[in-house]
Amino acid sequence: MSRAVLVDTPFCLACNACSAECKFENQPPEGLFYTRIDQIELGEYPAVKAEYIKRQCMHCEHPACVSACPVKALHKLPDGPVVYEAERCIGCRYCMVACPFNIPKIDFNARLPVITKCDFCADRQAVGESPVCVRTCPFGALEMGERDELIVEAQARISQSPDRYINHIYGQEEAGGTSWLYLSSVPFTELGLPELGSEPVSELSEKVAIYGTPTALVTVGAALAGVYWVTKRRMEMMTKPVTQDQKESE
Amino acid sequence: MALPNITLSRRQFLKLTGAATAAASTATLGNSLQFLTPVAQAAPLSAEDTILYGVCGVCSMGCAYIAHLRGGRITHLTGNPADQTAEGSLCVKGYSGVRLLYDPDRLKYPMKRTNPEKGVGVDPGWVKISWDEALDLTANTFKEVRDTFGPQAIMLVARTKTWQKHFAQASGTPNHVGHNNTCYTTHDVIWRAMVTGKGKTWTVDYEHSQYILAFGWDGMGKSKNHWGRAVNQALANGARLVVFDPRLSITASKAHEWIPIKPGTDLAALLAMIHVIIDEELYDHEFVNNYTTGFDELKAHVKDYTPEWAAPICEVPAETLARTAREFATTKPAVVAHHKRDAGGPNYTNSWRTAQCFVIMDALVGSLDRPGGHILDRKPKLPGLRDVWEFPDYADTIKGPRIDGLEQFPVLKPLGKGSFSTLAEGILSQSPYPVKAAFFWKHNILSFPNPPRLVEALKTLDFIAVSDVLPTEIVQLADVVLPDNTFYEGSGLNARQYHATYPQVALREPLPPVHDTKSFTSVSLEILKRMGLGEYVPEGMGGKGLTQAELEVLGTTADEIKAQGGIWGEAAPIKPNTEFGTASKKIEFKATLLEENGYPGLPSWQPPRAKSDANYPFHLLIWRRPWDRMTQTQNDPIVSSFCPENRAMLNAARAREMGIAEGDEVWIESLANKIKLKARLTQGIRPDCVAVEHGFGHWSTGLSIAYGKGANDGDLIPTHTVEQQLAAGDPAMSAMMEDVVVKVYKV
Amino acid sequence: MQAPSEQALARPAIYQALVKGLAYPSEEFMAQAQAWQTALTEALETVDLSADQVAAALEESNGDLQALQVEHTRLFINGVPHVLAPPYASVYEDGGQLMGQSAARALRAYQEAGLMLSAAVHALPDHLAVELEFMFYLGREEVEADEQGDAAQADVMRQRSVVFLNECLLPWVPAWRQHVEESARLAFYPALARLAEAWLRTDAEYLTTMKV
Repeated sequence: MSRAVLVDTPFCLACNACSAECKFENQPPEGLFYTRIDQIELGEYPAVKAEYIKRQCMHCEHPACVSACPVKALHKLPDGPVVYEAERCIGCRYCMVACPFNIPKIDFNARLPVITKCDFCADRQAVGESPVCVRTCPFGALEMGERDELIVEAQARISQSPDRYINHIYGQEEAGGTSWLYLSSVPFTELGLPELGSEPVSELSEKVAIYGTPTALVTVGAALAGVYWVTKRRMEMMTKPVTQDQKESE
Repeated sequence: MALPNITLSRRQFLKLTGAATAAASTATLGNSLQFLTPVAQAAPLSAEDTILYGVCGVCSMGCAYIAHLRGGRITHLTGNPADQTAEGSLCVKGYSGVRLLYDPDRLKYPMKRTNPEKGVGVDPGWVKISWDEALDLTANTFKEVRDTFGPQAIMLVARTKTWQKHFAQASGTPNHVGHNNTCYTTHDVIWRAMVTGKGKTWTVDYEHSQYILAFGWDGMGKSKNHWGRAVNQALANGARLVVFDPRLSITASKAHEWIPIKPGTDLAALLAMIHVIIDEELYDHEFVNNYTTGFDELKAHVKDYTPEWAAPICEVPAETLARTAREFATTKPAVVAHHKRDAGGPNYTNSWRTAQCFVIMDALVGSLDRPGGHILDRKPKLPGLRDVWEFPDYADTIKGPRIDGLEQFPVLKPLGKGSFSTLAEGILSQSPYPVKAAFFWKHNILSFPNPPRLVEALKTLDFIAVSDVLPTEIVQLADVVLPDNTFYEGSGLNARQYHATYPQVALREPLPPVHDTKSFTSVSLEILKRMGLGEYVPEGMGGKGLTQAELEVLGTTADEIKAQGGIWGEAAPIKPNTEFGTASKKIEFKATLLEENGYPGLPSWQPPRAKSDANYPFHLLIWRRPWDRMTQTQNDPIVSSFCPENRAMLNAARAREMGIAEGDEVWIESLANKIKLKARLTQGIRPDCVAVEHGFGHWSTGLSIAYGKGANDGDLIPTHTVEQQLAAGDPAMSAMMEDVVVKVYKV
Repeated sequence: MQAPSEQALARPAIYQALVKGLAYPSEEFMAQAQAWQTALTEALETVDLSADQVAAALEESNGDLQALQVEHTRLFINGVPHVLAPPYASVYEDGGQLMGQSAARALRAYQEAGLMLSAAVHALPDHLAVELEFMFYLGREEVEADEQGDAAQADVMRQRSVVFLNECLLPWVPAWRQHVEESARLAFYPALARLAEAWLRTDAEYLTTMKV
């Protein structure tokens, strides 16, 4: 059974307790946060709305980052978290390209630049504790539970308050489903969540890896070769004595 | 420390077995340990997890927490689930408190200054001293000032709580100055006069409201722990939230309607609503008949305050005012949300009248002390000092005139608070007499209107002692620094107040102090003794003694409370009061206490003092980020990264008209001062307003993270003389913090 | 019975001298400063380190106790701007706060060695002076064990010393030393900090070779 979190964005008051406490207890590298609150202004004075949305790794059911990683540094645990082993990471950044939510970040402070991201507090969950953000939120925006039960809960909230919520649970189907599910009172794209079909993004990223890489190697290789030739020519030219005519033409 | 006479010769070095060696001309290093000591028996590795119960002190909500410790250090905090305030949660500020506890900039030892020069940016040249020296120096100086100039020449600038009051009164000074007229005296005076006979109430039953009306209240945006959750619940249960605010606050962003009212005109809107509710007979007849007086006078009084009259004043359509009034009166239960620095707080010259309208509205719809409305605090009756100890009456000098002029405000005076807006002028004009020495606790210069003016005033004093936790600006001006415990390191009991629907008490178990700190309680009592006022410090007097007495009254022990999860008290449903604390025992629409003291008993329209014009076209708005509390939290390395500096927030279209782009440096200038900030453009503010976050502009270089970031909004706010406050005709002595117009222009 | 080597004897003396030198300047210290300096110099000779800079700085200070106290306070306790060179491992290793993992680590090491922090003196476990005092203690116990022929106990002390030095001191003292150099107005504390760092490196090498 997969653990998941329902983010009820109308409840979020942008206090950033989740972001601060995650930073304090999980200690991401300097300058990075594993979770953040985006504040979005919509409309024009005086018809203005402000919305707040917690962003973090979505812990997809079919993670694109897992498929894209050439060294299997990332994998999805059966109970939900998408975790990674920094020691395996070679810093290739395929996962950054593949992730539709722009989540993995490079830790430039590490001796070898490796990626880093929220891991759903997998270690804490393994001993029966809540993720720090879920434990911390004072205002009821985060509810943790079994994924299918949360979907039922989310549907109930929508039914009970149709004026309060858009009739959609983001993450139920998107990208093949995610462990972090969202409710919203405005269209999800306005909150910065990408519009995605229900096809797992990993299939796309596999295509990138299988076809894209060799293609890229060939075309980029050809281009680089071309650049090399031109540069070499230029350098040969430069070492020749410059005639008066050539100088004037430059 | 003395170095024992063990000699070290060139060839034999230190003979550590203690055998005597030939004396030589070299070395005396010593064999002993100073910091470490052998344990009597093998101590268990304290890597185990333990907990301590306590009460958060970052704000006055006082949420009960559970501190989780490993190896003696707090790893994180959680809210106590049994506490009716915390309900198992803290807020972002509360969680951040651990970083205050372990801040390397914390005051660690008593210190004194060696540089006699004082000022902004001046290095005090601190040296560490012993507690004895610090206490003697303070006490002897206070005694000398007292003997030479009289007890009134010493002022205590501190919250008006038990031990602080005792120190001031025992020393004989009338000058116990709290911050309250920058905070909530308007509400306090109105609740005293209309409802309680004492101060305002704090508990609000938002979770059961079905209609929440707010004027400038941003409880959700200030991340008030209980209330954010409660309003969320109410909204999820279909409650309607309507917010009047010149700025789109976080609370306003959650509202069904955000109405950008003209600043300082909420009074007009409210008078119109009261008019509609009475005129259309939408009020709760039963409640009004049984529990109020003065209704007929009120009805006559608001006859001409129509929505059409109010609309051009507030710049809100008349139909909106009328409709809101009808919805408020017919959706039950309904409440006007307020706390401190909303439109009814001491922000404008007319705020006390606005505060009165808040209470009138609640009384008209019958939600006062009823589910869904403001609830009168249910607190246990705990012993005071005189219940526990015998000591002489305080001297009559404590009733004398004050340096802040508070005694000239008779409705406010008995509430025992203070005025920050008049303090600097009082000191500088030596009116009614000179003040020579000060004792500051838990208040900072940056919290005052026009802090530079206060700095000038404080420089005229001979001596300043400060008890505090961080080296804030006031500490930089101190002669003696007395490092205080954080609330984690204190002990005792704390009665629930901000959400107290039934009497409940939280236990405070102390963390062993991280540094060589002492509580204000123990320090102030010691100073009294050394001042020669030992008769006011009978044997055993102190925090622990008071706690013991409190436990006895409750009929329990600390161990018992700990065993029950750190909380004492049995849940009980709210039994509504049918009698109130006024002379008539009813809620008085026309407050006789105000009339008896020369103030009008009913709220009439009065415009705010500051009027925008071509010269000063913008209204100043002051707000706070959710993770900031006054001036204490900007040194937190994590939350300060969310918003490292404050900004001048302007309406985007208006800013573009002025050629100001996002991030441009601008001056904001009032009659008092000017400050420089970068501009932030938003859609969520009236074009005639500029909003600035409070709590920045630290100039204490002792704060490594906060120093130099942003600017202090307070610089823009003028101080007042007592005469100016009296002339304003406000019984609550409001500091009028936002009744300020400014000009904004690019640097 | 194995007589302790010169270096083994000198080590605790050097640590103790550093503890005294880093303490809040007092009248007693100033009165005995010369003797302290001489003892330190002699002990350092066994390891080819010099206390000349420290000596010169002391001379320069001309017995001005208050100046040294102001300097000590601003560098190590509360200063302007901010406490300039906080002498706590946590500040450098654990994100700028006190009582981080480093403090827990040091505390565990003390407990394993049968010690606890004295309640009378308010000091945190990862304060430099406390950590240096611990190294003094271990060195002292090692010498005593050697003199009593308890080679196993001496070994335990050496083992504890090398682990503590590498885990709890060397990782952060260079950063602390840098802060002292950047912020000091007088010469004494930078000289002492440099000496402390040099000594720690020397001692680490020595202890590592001893293990073999």
